[in-house]
Amino acid sequence: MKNDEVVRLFDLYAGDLFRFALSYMGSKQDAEDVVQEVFLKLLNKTVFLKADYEKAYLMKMTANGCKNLLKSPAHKTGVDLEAAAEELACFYELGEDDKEVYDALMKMDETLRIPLYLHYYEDYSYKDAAKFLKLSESAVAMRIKRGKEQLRERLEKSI
Amino acid sequence: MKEIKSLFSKFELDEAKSDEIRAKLVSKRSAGRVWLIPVIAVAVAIAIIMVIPVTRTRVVNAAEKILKSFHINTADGLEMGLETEPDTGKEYSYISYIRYDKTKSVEIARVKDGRLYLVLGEEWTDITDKCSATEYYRYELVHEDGAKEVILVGGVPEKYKYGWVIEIYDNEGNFMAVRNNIPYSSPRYYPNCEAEDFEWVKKAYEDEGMVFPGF
Repeated sequence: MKNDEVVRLFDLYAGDLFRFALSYMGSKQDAEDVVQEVFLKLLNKTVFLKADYEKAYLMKMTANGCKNLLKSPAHKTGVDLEAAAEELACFYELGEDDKEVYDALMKMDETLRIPLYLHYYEDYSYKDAAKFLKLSESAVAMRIKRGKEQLRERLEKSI
Repeated sequence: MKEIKSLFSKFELDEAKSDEIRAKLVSKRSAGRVWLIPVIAVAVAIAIIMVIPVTRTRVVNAAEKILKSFHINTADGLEMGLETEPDTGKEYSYISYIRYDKTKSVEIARVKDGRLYLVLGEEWTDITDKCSATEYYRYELVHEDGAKEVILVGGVPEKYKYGWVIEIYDNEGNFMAVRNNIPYSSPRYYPNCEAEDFEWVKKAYEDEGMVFPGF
């Protein structure tokens, strides 16, 4: 893909992809690395994206990038998620309430966290989230329900 | 769950990091011209892309065949494959240039001492008198594996006023793809180019029986 096309996509979607990567990784630096990798990869990709499909494609690339990074040995042994959360809270000047929500989300298994994020932040319908995650709608609905319960439970405990 | 929306709305990509990535995207050279073409479109454009079978199995077979055998002058190889749109499951075929050594120059037209040269490895051919804003030089290059490139260089020997187009054929003579390096088509990098300096490009496409895609 040509540089100017990749830059256009970057300008349009980098913020959304960063937030999505953050919901996976929990670390600002890791999320930034994944976003960078996604766009650098695009330079070598043979892809012409229809406008209404651009974001979904990039979200998919981001999800794959996050999964790969999470699986890497360096990540498993070298990331202090608590320190990363603290850095994030400090950088974005999060209040106590936001910090609690963030901590609660990050302590949750990603199989629940990502459907929650897609549904409540990205406004994906159950059907769209199911397509994205390659799950059935009922499985997505169940995960979102369990995710909500866990989040509420953790937030109540932290009060 | 408005807490999730509220929390994540606060996260923006760090401006310094954003600038850093953006700079890399602008400066890093892309590995090659790339396309992702719906299979139906490929079928319609068969005359210019080669005989790409429409069914998945046959397309994959074609890709494997080309992946193993295809070499071109301006890259280390050419690859065909299929990519599936995760959202809809729709399949797309693609053609991709492979460059293992990205530091290796792929420029095949160069200007030196006011002359325009076709450059193939160590061999420089002065083609100044055969080229102009409306005329081009045609050269056929056949590789050891039978793949063929038809190289068309045109323009005048001034900075950003010349370029090249290459038609690529596989070792069975099937038209595979066309690749070009025309400064006028990349105004972001070459903002001062004029269309009139590249009249030869349209002529070259037409002479070769290809559809001129425009700049």
